[in-house]
Amino acid sequence: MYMQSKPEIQPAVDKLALELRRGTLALAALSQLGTSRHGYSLVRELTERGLEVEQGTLYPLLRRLDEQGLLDSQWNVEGSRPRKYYTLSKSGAAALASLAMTWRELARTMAELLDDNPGGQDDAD
Amino acid sequence: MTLIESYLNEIVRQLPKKQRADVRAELRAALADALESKVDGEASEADVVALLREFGHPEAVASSYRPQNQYLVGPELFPAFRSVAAVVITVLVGLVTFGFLVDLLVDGPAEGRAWLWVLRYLGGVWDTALSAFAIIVLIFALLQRFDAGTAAEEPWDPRELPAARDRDLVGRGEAVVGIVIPVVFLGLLNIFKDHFGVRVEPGAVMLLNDVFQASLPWLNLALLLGVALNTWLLRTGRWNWPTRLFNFGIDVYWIVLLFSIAAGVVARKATLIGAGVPEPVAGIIVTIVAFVPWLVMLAVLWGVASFLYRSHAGDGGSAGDTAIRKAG
Repeated sequence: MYMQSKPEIQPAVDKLALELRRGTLALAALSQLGTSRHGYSLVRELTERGLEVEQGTLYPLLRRLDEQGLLDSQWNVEGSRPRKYYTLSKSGAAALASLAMTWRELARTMAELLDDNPGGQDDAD
Repeated sequence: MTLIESYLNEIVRQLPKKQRADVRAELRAALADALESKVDGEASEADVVALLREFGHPEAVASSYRPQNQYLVGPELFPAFRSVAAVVITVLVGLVTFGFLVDLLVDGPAEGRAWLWVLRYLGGVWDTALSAFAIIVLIFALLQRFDAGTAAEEPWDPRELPAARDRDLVGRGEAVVGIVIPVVFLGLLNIFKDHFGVRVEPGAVMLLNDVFQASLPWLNLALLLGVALNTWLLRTGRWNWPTRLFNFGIDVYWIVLLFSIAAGVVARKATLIGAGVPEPVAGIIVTIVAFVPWLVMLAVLWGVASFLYRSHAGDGGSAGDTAIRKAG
């Protein structure tokens, strides 16, 4: 899948890839919180769908989105252990719609940009 | 389970108190869920270790919880901080070196005591550099707290930016340097006020220190006036006639002050020689001290002359424009 970069630039490439993934994490989380979920169930959902999730980053992100009013949170003490559940708030749903549009435009533009450059095409290696 | 509890402790102790219980409970459940889904039955220590490694270093997790941009000296101020620290510390180390060389000349090379002298010198350099550094950090931290970053968030209009060669424009960095350097000197002159002067031998009376102490209040006033002017300039961002006159007044005050200090030192030449300072060394000290005010006066006159010349030329053309005109 990946074209392996030269070893000396690998750390820089890894860092850029990490930043790309981190930038999409909020949108990915919002997209799956139409139904109420606790943090780990969100992790499982995203992982099963093929998205690599850094858990140590996801939980702080959920807390931040909650503080910003995009999510509603609630402790649920039923079940084997107390868990904090998150759902999209009303403004969160609006934010999701707007961010989804931004993402689709961005993805289309990026695909076109990468097509211009032979190195960026899927079949480069 | 104790590994998980230590891990949680390590994370939450870096967070604000009121978040701790909530974050701990949430992460505890998350880690237990993750462990359950990865391991059938009883989890071994190795399983827990692998899970925590994957979750991330406690430091990294905790910092994801904290708000971004918590700086003592942030990226906007850091370049100014670095240049101020470099200039001030270099100058001070130079002064300390000069002081120690004078001491060495006065004492003569004490036999078998060279290492002691080197140690004292290194100690002096370390004390001075460290105090200066601490004061500079403190000032920049205050600037960061109360001033930095606010400008970049306000709405702005490119047409309102000052013209590139506007001679009334106050350089922000220049004003910051104009505040920091006098404050550093205020601190150092007053903290180390007993250390300025010439000592013939360890334990003897510090010669010339009385001259320094007598002028210390006047030196403090001069430095404070500089701080006040630059604080004002930092706020307003522009020079005008009152601030220019005030600045010139401060320069004149400095010259008078330095001449009076120099006169005090010159008058002590006989005392120095009487106390055992070799005559040529006393001559060198007196000459250097007497030379300083003249040097400052020349610098001030040069500044005034070049300002008047540029005002007279009308457009305050910068060196770059001149170069372009010459090339064309």
